[in-house]
Amino acid sequence: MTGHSIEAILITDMNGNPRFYMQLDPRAFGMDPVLASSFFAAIDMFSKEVFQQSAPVFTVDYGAHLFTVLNGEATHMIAVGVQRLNTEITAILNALLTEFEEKWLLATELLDIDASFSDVYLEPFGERVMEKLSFEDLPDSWVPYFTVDPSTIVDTSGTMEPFINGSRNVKEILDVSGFAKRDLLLEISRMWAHRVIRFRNMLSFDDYVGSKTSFLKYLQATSRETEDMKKQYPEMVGVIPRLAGLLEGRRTVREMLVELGESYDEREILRVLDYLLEREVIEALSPEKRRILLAKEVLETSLRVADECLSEGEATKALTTVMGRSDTPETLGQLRVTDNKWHVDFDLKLLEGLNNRRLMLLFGEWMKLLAQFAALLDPTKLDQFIVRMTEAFTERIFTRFTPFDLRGFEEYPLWLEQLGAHKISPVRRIKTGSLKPTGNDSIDEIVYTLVTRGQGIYGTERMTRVCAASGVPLMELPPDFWVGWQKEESQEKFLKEYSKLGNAAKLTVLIMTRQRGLTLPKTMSP
Amino acid sequence: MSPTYLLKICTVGAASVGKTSIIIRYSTGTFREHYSPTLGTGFAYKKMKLGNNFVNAQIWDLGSQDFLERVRANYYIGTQGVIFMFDVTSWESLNAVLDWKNEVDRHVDDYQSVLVANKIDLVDERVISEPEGIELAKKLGMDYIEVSVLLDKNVNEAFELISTRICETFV
Repeated sequence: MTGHSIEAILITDMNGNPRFYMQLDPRAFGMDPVLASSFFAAIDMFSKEVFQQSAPVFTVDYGAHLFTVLNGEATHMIAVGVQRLNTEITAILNALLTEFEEKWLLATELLDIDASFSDVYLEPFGERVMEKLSFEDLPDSWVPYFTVDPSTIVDTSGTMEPFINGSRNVKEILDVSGFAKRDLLLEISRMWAHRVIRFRNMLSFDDYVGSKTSFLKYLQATSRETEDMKKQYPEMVGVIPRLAGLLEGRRTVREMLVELGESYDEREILRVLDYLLEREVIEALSPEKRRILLAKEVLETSLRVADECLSEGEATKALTTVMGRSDTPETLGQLRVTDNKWHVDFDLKLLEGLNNRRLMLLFGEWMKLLAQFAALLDPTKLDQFIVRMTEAFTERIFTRFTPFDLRGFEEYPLWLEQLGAHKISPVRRIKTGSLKPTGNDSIDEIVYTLVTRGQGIYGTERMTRVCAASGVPLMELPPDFWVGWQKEESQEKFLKEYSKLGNAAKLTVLIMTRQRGLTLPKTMSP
Repeated sequence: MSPTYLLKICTVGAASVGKTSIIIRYSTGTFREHYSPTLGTGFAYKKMKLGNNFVNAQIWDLGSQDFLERVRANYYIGTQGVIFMFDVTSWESLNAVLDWKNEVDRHVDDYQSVLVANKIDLVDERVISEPEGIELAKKLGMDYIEVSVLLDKNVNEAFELISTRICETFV
């Protein structure tokens, strides 16, 4: 479902009574029913304060979710998600809201405010919603299954039912049925609108999974949760305690399967994860939490590398100094001493309930810790530290994190370059020539960033030499002068020449090319 | 023929007020969704026409962390204009403007300045009103403008304002 990031839609009347609710993202378990109560509380708050606004569309940051509110003539539509909606999606929602008011509002029942969200639904309108906001993609590994006897389904074409058996995944269904993926998506969207289908196996192998506080109930033999599970799925009871130790939010699904692969069948483990995910006691890390995990992994690696490269106690001294300068409880609270050494605690529970904005700031705090820690290390050993960190990136970090996770992380190696540059030359003007920040071409962006930031770090003269050696012009050129193979060749050469500025520079190039999914020049490959 | 002025403008302000984002928005027209602290100095430029003058604005994005002050000191040299930024949802960022002014004053003798209030799209989270922003700007002798980098509202105007003020000093 890549076209939009809406998890659910709620339509209320002007009195705040829910008139329609629909979950659009199968992974958004949070909306039904656990988050419903806080959601209603928020709606209640909106009706008193926020709906007074004259703006037709506005966004409210509410805990871990963003609510985009569209004001209609007789109702409000609230789209729930974690990202802001673009104008195209907002226009679709507006059209749906108008249609709802004109055609469907009178057909809805006025339910009590305490009613479950699942009761506030109108199938024909749900189908219209899924026509406009259908699944644009479903991961190959997801396994759709029917929540009703498929022979009783009358509202869909019926072409797909024979192929959905609760164990075939999306890819297998496509292979067996011979249907085009788009047709499958439209049909499944229709089934979703009629609420006759759900999914298993929704975790990707590369998802990092962590447990929430409420997971502990599943580790108590006498809890109601464990009792319920014993009755429904007795085979899961033994798996969960074994899984518990792997759910610290630092391991991917793939790593868990490897760890437990000898004891349990892969499908059994995935079923348990699905079960726990549906009950919202575990979570797949959101993009922002993955970035925090990355920064924490790099700090943990820094601590271990510093222990090896530097004299005894230096890493501890540097970290305690850095901690003394920070007042952020969410970061300080996750640094622990074990066996006289500092370690990063990877537990996720501290982040529960924090909104995206706070998570972004916490990523920044971890980056600050990383930067200050490196700044306090013995300068004569810094290069050795950087070499070892580069090895750790290529061996561990790059294999475990996606290019998307690395967004913004180039700041760390650029800072290491700054630390290693010893003397900073005062810079009055930056030379750019015809280089431009375009915001869309990957290699252009990298070269522009390195040429400009490089001048700040190494001075204009040194960067001019790097550009001259690679054929990157630092003068104004006619637009058709530096193009095609000549441009590509000189940009590639530039990356090599820039890497020669030092080990930190090499790490910067590695991270920036990785971020953008570019292939490194052969002579530079780690 | 009209002259082309080369202007050096720095953006300063508390962490996460949107200094890097405003520069990216202004120079590339795109919005950066993610936040990452600038650990050093970013850089962008844009050419524009102001009245009869052509202007090449070089914009320096100075990392705001405390431990970067020594690094920042090297980049203030030659600065003609400073954009002081704060976030309308954060009192701390507004209060920090005074500290930023003191730091710039220590390093730059003569410069033009604009106080930029960002994130006005966060209507319900806003805690600093326009009159409060204007009052501070007046107190510090700066122009004042409210922007939303996310919605691309007044971003070009903010840079045109500071550039105009600098160009006026050339007359």
